[in-house]
Amino acid sequence: MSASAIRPARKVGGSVAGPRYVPFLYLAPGLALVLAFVIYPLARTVQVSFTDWNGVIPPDFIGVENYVEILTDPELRALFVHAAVLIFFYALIPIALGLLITAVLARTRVRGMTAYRALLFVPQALSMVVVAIAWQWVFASTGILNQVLTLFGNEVTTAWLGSFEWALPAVGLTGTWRQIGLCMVLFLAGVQKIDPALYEAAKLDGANAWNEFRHITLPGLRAEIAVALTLTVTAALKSFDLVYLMTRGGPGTSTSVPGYEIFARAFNRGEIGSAASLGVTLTLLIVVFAFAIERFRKES
Amino acid sequence: MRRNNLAAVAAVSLTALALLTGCAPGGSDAPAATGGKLTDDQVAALGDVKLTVSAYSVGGQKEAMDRAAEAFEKKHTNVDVEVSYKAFNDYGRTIDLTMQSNDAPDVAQANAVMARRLVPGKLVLPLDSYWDAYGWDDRFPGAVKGTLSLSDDGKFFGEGSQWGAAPGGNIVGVFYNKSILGDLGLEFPSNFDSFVASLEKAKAAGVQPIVLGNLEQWPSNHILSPILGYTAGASEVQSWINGGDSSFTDSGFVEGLGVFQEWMDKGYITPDANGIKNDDANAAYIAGDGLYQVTGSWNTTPFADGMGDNVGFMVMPAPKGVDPATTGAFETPLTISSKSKNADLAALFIDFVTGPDMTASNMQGGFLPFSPVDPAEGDSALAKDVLQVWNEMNSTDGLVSYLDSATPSMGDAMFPALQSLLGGQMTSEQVATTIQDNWDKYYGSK
Repeated sequence: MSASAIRPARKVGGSVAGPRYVPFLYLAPGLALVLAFVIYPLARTVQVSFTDWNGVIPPDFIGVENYVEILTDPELRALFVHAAVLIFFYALIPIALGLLITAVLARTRVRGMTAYRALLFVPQALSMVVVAIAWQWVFASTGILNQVLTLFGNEVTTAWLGSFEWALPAVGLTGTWRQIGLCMVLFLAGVQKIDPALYEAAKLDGANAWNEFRHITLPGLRAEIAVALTLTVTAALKSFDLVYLMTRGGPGTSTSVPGYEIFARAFNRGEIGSAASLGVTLTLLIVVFAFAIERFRKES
Repeated sequence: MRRNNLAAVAAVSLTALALLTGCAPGGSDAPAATGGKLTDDQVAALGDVKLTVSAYSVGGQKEAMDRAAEAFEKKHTNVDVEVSYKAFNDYGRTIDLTMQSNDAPDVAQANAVMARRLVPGKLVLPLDSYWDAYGWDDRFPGAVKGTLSLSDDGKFFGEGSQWGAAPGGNIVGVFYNKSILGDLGLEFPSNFDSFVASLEKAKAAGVQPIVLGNLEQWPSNHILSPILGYTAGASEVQSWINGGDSSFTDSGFVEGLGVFQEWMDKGYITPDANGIKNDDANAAYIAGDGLYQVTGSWNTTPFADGMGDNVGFMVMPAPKGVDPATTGAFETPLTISSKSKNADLAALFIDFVTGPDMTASNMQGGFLPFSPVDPAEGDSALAKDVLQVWNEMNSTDGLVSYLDSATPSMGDAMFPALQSLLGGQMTSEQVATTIQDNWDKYYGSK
């Protein structure tokens, strides 16, 4: 160190801060953690995914058999369809509603704005277990939803989470409720950095609310929408907690998703190999989605 | 130069990694066990010794385990019994790792599903020599004894070595609301037909015949299993569970599934059961919202507390000319780790926990004792009923194992399928095929 203070001349591969490996040394602790807790487990999962293993006795190497099963088993494909339905509820609806709220709030001054914002963000801050139990009550046969529906006439006693048609939308709506606050907070923050002069100019030009939204708010929020999409689509694809807590994948397998199936295989059935292959597939899928969304953001 | 830098980073990172994961190679010394019975003097000669126990018991059963540990320490003052508990869900998922580790507990609770992994993994000791030395053979009724032995590959119950011994068991049966039965003017149903007739009569009178909350997916199989015992035959069902000759696609099994679905269609079973939480259904039953509930003896205490003398317990009545049978099994069997350095002492502890010394304490904890106990010792009218039925079933070998113990993944295959059956999404034939497919995958198709 003292030498470099006196003689700041560069050596080959060196720099003002010292030899070139010094920055890497600073990175090493973080890198070690990433290696230990991300890269190593990931590599192991890929390795295990080519085996038939119950977690105790030595694994059998079976090549790509697990992956062939994922591609050919119609029941497994159904899980990915369920995840796609959840993307609709976890990502598309919250983003649409978030944009709507933002568009309305961007045009008008609302008293107590901070309070509303905080209130709408509460679902994000709640523990998933609390959310799941609360919504189980909402959807119960004597729950709030049915009490409200009953006000409109006939008595409704459907246990929504036990219905093969409605259980998945019910779980999805719970996700919608949870994600909407996230989208809204992102968009409200984004809208504040749009130059108010643009809105004024638009008003002078006689633009209506739709035009303002279409040509100012929406393009201005492109980056925020991409972030919201990445977070919510990822949440939908890897969804596990709500399904596990609310329905255990039931009734039948009508609400089961890849995340839940991975858990069930690995921990209930001791099929670690096939669970790992499903995990790798899901990871790849999420990466693909994340890249696609990133491209959408850049193509502005 | 660049490559050297990267190599340096890699070296530093890998060193850190090794430190973080703390992977040190370690071997385990073979325990010096005799496989025989220890006398009190031999225990005393061991000097100060610690016995570690892993358990998933909760509530009354946990208290019973604590009492047993304490009583054992009192009897053998040089032994320190250390019991650690973990919630069942986590326990089942980590027991393999726990038993593989170098500080595996001497004694571990393991149910039949866990045994299927622990036995082939050679993580638990075969108990045969202790079984003989302590005379445990006389302690357990036939069906239970069978399921406490398992082939070396972990596939077939009733074969191979004994792997565990249990402090008690449980039984599935029909809880009935006495005043509703009386209000309906019904006699106590004495056979399967009169039981079905009572369902019809209750339904006609606007009373929910069978209360079921099946959101958790598993509860419905406790209604199916006693039905199967009569449509397919108890020994056929047990043979299927043990990997024997029966198939779920046999006519008797499909017929049982059909009866189950018919009960649902006719409204004998709570409509919307698939969307109702088991706890909520129990609460409704306790509040008097139904005639029967078909479930296990683990509900004895809450039902007795909530309903007092107004609730009774029976085996689902058998068709005329058929012996009564129902589902039941041991609970929380204890195994000995193959890494234990105190295997003989561990066996003595298991003998103590499952033996006559602790029977009263175990009963208090909610176990049904294997050594016959006078039903009068039950602490409620309902508990007396349950004991009575339990004794009968054990003396007639009327107990059949739980359906989901047929394969390690049977619950995951069967329970959602039963939800589909109740919801009318699958026919009984389809459900039978789904269940049998899982079985075939495990045992190989026949």
